[in-house]
Amino acid sequence: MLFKYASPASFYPLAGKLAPVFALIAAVLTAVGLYQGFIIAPTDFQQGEVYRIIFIHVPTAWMGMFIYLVMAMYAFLALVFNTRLSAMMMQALAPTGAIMTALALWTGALWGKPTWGTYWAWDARMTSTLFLLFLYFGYMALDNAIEDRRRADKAGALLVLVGVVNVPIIYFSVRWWNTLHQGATVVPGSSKMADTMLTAMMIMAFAMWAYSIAVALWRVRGIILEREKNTAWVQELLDRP
Amino acid sequence: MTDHEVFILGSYGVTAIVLALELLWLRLSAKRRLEALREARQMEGA
Repeated sequence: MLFKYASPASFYPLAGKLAPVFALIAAVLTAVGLYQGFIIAPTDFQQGEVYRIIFIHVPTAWMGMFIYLVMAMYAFLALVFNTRLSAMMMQALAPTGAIMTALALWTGALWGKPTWGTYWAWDARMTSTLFLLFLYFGYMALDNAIEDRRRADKAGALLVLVGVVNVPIIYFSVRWWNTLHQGATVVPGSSKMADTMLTAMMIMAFAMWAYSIAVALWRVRGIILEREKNTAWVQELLDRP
Repeated sequence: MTDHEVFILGSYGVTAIVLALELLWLRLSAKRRLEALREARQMEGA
């Protein structure tokens, strides 16, 4: 069953059906998450209202790291099993991963100014997250620079696999080094947040998850068409009104 | 508007704009790509 959808020809219509479903889930979860975060969750006794940036900052930061891990998984599959769809998925995920990381840095800067007194500090968490953004840019630049698709996929997959070491560095940076950035907000089994705040953050995280899946599925459809344009099934598709 | 509200609006506003632009760009590029492929197909057939 799963192997059937490893073929671009089978995955293309499936992605077309699934993408709107995930987009709808993202929209509903965003509405619920924002209601929970802005109406239900109380004002923080230390930071006041500005802490509410957490409901967008943490989900985008998580997605920035998570998308890179998913890309690394696809990179491994592309290199070891030479599956065409894996390289396409890697290519489809990168722009969204870069956007999520950039948004995490942006919202973090806007949260940092009122709480720390500065938009930016070269501490381990922030610097390693900036490096993640450069890894996304590097992958996309490399992918576009090499004309031969097979070579571009291989070089891109290698870069992604080498760069994956940065993800645990980001995650554990607040433990390994003395950083201005606070420690982990959500630790399995013992969260430091009030339940209403945690619920809002988790709902927003699932919303960002659903959004990223929807966008990646829409993007991969375009990539599939472009790369498979000379195959019979795409030619047939193009002949349809 | 308080300072805190400006920072919150800056975070959520920019996020909403960026994600909306990503969706719009995806839609437009998908449409353009399909048209270009169809045109190439017609040129081949002619």
